[in-house]
Amino acid sequence: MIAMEELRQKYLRVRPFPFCPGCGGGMVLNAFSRAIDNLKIPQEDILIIAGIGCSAWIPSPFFKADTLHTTHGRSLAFGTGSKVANPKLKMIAFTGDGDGTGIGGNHLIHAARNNVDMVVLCINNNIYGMTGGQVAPTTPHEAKTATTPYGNPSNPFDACKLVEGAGATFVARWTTAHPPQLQKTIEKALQHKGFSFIEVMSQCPTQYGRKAGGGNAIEMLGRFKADYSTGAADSRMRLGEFVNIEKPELCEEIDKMVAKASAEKREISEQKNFADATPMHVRIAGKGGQGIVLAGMVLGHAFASCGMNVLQTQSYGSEARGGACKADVIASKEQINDLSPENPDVLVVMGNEALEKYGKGAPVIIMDDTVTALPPEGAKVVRVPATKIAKELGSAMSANAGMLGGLAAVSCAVPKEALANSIKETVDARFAETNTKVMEKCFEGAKN
Amino acid sequence: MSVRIDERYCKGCGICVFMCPKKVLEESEALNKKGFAVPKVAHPENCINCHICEQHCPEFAIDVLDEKKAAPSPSAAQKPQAAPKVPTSTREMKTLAPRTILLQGDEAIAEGAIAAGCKFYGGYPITPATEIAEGMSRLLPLNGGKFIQTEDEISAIGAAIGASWAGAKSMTATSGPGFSLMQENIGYAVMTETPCVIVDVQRSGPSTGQATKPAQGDAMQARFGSHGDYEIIALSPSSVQECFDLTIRAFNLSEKYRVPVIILADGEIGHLRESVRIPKKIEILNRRMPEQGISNFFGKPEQGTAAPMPAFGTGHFVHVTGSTHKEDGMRDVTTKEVHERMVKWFCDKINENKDDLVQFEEKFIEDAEILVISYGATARPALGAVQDARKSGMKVGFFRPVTIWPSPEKRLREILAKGKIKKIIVSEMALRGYFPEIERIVAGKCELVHNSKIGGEIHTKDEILTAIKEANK
Repeated sequence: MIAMEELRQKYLRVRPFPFCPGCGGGMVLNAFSRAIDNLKIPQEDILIIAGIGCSAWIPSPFFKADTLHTTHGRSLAFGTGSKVANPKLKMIAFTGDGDGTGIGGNHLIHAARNNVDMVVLCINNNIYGMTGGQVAPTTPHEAKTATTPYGNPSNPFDACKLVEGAGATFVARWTTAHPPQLQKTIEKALQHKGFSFIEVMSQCPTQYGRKAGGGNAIEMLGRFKADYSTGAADSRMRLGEFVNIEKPELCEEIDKMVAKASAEKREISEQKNFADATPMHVRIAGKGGQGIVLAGMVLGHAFASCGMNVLQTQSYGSEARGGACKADVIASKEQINDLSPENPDVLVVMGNEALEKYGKGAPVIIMDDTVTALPPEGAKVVRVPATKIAKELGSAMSANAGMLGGLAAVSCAVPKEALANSIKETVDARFAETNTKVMEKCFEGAKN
Repeated sequence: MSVRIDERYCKGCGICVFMCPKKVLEESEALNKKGFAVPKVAHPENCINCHICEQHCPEFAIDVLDEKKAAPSPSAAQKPQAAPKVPTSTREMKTLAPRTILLQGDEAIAEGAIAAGCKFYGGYPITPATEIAEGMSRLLPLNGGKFIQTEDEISAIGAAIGASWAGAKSMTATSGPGFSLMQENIGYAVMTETPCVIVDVQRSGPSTGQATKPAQGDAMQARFGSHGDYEIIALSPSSVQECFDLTIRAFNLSEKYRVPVIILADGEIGHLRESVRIPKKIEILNRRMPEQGISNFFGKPEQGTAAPMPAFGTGHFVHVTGSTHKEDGMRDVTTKEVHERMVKWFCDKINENKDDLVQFEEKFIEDAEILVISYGATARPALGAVQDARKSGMKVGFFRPVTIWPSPEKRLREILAKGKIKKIIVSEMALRGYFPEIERIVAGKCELVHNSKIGGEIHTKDEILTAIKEANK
């Protein structure tokens, strides 16, 4: 067993502690320091995280390691970031019943669900200590506290059952009257890969003791010895290790993903030099599901790769689902400042409803074979049987690319090669080939 | 055996007396200097060397000594590892080549973050910022970085701060409701001098508002949203190109000054697609790591714009706390001078570097009698309207704050001091928005018109032109 002098020298950054006489906090730090020493965990690998409250002050700044003392309840959220960014850290959270299961309850259950590799020491003294003895999520029913002067109307959490339900892979409970057992369990938790939760029932001789009538430190420790046991009927008074299982751990899983993804050889497409494009405002319209927005993106990207300034907007939200929808593409050699452009030079249209909604005033209209309505008078109309050709070549879903081929042929907006390249770079690889074929066939058809 | 109680630290709780199985210790009435009754070692001869008293002492104040054994020598103090070299500023992108491509504003923010060297993103989905998270979830692993979707926005910014201290450049993105949830931890990042980038793609509010529609109502939340005294940097992109460029700048400023930097975008720019030129060379700043033997990681450094920042796990035993602390990180919440010195430093490093931070765009200022001030997406139709107005002979100028916070106060005052400007029109998608700041700067020196528009639609060029014509009457 490590000598007390060595324990202090090695693990304490400063003294004295700020705790009330008889507080359990120092006892937990005592057991924790011994566990760290027994396992010979290098101190530079340790990250201690803590929130707000007396529990947070147990290690912060007293335990000599990297220490991250966060906002109230959020230590597990902060720590998850640290641990994911550097999985080599050996991370231990000191939290209280209020910090951990009250304000930080959401982070607690999700850290458990994610099975983030950390040890959470939840020091439960049944009360908010630092703020002066208010009711906590662990305060027994009917207990009188600073904010329940007529007794607690609510019911307490069983924190161990809570995290077990949330997916914690190591769960245990001891009290400050059981330091040797606590130390052994902390050692086991430190060696466990995954989310380990140890609830430590601890005495608050001031707020829960003197003020709320819980007795002094010795009396509380006496009750821990007498009432708490491995076989206690009340689950909240049961001691021991309840869960010790294996599950995928978040940081390891992310590391595997990153290793796989970052090793992938990726082809980075360099700038190609296509022939000049023509400045133009094109509106592509149809109904939701036809790939109208995607067509806008393909056209916009083609314009961009020809060195044009491009702006592309689209209608969003419920309007796009099933009803008429549109995508506007403006290509210009100047800076484009109008973000809600009207009066397109060309309307590419793939449905009757869209024609009705957007057809008025368009000088040139390129219509798919699915459009049966009559175009407005005065417009130059070009018909491109894109849907028919797309069906012949395998998928009606590629009709949008066909319309772009028709547009390129009729308006000389963009070179065909730029469109083909844009399809390759923008469209899902599964559909790119068919799209390109449909685009080219429609281009040739419209050209002649 | 001998048992020794260090009466300097003993608080007289009596736990050792209660726990000792052999009654070695007894309560006593002798008080130490702090007034605690320190137990006495009444029967050392009964000690069985069980160390139970040591294991139970909350104050680490009891030693059970075996006199036969030599006193243990304290372990050698661990030395911090040598300071890692500051990586040179190179661009290492596996996903983009220098070229012109079509990107959505949100995507450009994600690409900009990758270009800046971002290695961690924590986020929660929210329209219209979701595409940033989607982009980062795809791009980060390809570039050796980590993405997590958190349980809420409080956790998202918490994780970003935690990751930053673990040595990773980090980012989170959200919209108004999530930005509100992040405010406490933005203050924490200020207090702990944590570099990180927070994107707010503004949408209509209050509350859920028109969830999918753009707005510009968060300028004051960006500036004053967290509690206490602080200064903040906020950048507002008005094109997709700027979404890319300003994200890189945000990371660089964040590292240079060790501050959280906000990108105050809006739903219009976030969802807009535009051509973006990816440059060949991108300048990247990295944080200064501490050299060996340095222990002051906070506050005003002897040289440079911020103290060196160690990463967790490198043996520096850094203590990071949101409580008021001294330069060495140690909590001191009672000394007035410490709080004053540290908080003033957090403000000074922004206030005294405004020439480096403040960026704006101005056009046609020389002869302008009417000045249109606009930022973000609205600045685009505003500039278009100004250009149209000048074609019809009106003396109109255009001013666009790129750095929203700190505001371009100095330049605006210079322009006003020339005495030519008679009216200022502020165009923005908000009823209050940034207007109070312009009002403060103008301070009655000319007439002010607030050309605000809410309801989820950006101003058209013609609407702003109408406001200019009205002002020109």
